[in-house]
Amino acid sequence: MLECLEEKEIISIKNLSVKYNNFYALKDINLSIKEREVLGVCGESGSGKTTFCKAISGIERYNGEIKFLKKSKIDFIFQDPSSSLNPRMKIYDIIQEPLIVREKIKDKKIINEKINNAILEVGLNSDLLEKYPHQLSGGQKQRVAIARSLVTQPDILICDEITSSLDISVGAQILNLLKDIYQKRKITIIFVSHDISALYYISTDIIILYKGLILEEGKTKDIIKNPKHPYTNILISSILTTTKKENIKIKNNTTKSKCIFSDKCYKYSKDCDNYENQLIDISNDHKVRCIKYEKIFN
Amino acid sequence: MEDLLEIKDLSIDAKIGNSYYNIVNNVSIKVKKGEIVSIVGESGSGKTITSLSIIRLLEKNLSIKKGEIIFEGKNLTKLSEDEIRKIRGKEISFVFQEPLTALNPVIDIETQIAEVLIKHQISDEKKAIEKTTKILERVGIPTEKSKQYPHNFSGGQRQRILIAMALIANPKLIIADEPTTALDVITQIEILNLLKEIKEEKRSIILITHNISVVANYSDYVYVMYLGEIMESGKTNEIINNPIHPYTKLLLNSIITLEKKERLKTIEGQIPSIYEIPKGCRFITRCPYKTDKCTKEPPLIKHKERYFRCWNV
Repeated sequence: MLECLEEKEIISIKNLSVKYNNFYALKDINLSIKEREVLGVCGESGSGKTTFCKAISGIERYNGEIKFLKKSKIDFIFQDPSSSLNPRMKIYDIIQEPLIVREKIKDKKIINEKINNAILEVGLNSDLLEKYPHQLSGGQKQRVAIARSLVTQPDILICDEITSSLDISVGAQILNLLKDIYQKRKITIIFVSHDISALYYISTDIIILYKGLILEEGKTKDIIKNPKHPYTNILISSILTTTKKENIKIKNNTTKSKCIFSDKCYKYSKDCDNYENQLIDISNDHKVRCIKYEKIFN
Repeated sequence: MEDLLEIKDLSIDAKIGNSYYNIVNNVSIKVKKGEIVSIVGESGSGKTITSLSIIRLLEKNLSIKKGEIIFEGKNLTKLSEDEIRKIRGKEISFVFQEPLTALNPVIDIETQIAEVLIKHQISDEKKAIEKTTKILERVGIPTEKSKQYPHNFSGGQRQRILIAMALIANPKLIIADEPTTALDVITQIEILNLLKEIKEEKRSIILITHNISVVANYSDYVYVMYLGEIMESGKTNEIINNPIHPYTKLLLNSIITLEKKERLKTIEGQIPSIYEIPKGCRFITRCPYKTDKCTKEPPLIKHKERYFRCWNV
């Protein structure tokens, strides 16, 4: 768990919505991201996590406002390194590409130096530079993708499920690496994952997305130690640990409630039917979209 | 409980170019009736290959070099293609890892599931459709969606459809290869709970996973595999609470828990490829406890009900 002490805002998001035909992939997102924050975005597939990242990086049309309060360079690391690295390019060329295309650096010496520094920073051996992606393991490929992002010195790094296609122990290596990078480079990170335990380790703040809406947001320690939404509670108690636990029951309710989680919610009752589904402010920076937030535990 | 399946000293070679490389070495696994047995290990450990060999779905360049696979008294490795086809899907079924590629995109799901019963001549078409409706209900797919195609379903639903397909012929053994890896937390719990229900009907399941916490919560017996060999095996609670082999210990350590940690523990390095299998203990290149002895092949040691392969315990 990390803490963000910085108060300076870097991204201000107001009423962000993304709509495909009649379907809202994201709805009414209001958020302030601070400098040096590691924002953990947690949700299932279809919750709008990737749409959120795409909107911020400007590769998705949206309604509402995303304002950068400082001129910032953004870079994106994707889930599957096998498809985000060009199979016909050598690792050297892969890392070099943004330097030429984006940074317009022509001096071969500077390029070489930057590539060598980046490859060392991500813990790879420079022998790999002459290899092709298929000759590397999944973890090594993800490190190359990170190196490719680091060479351009981004201010904001968006990591979309970067550990989920890797083995657990390899994923843990990548998380350690990202933490080192964060501490050394003082950057802002948006870290997307369906695995809340990874977010616990790496993030300073968390938003919980479900069907395009924020169900809960707050500081990482508040969200994990004191969750207020039943869905967050399920996510946390479903972290499979090696100590045996009761199996978690997922409900199948028929409801008229505006609450989008009411059909699966173990806390659902008739009271929820009158709820307008608004985000409720509980304490400093901790917000939740549930009227039963005070008694979500059994 | 009696054994339903026994794999004895199974070795599998891969032919690449003109050379043979060993990818599964002396693997022995027992599955009892009504038991979930898991095979756990990182990718590249040979879990999937071992399980595919049971129903003889190995790629052409892979061949069983030695060993037996005994299922209800029959040695599956000796059966003809026709004979194994009668077992595959009917007696032993397989839930594949990638639900998107395992389903046929141009056939509606009802027809795909019913096909199992029709091909195995268990039911006529009408009966088969009836049974399909029931099984879809059982796995939680709305029956009004049964005429739809795979792309109409989410990842979790596709995985349920595959499980429905694996269940429909009432097999005695279900092999589930990473059935929850591509899924979200909530769906993962739902699918694993479903597998547990199936087990309670006295059917057996081989659960293949790289996630040792899934193992801890859902299986009765565990085989820890690394680079084609079983490193350690035993009852789940014994392996989890008292791991003996260094690899098992490291796997257990690399789980992220909600304890405050400055750094996550990892297993240094990576699993070697089949071209560079080390001499002696296969885990030697990554083992923090290795000694001079480890360059010799470690013996399989039996201690009470557990087996492990390590010199330094």
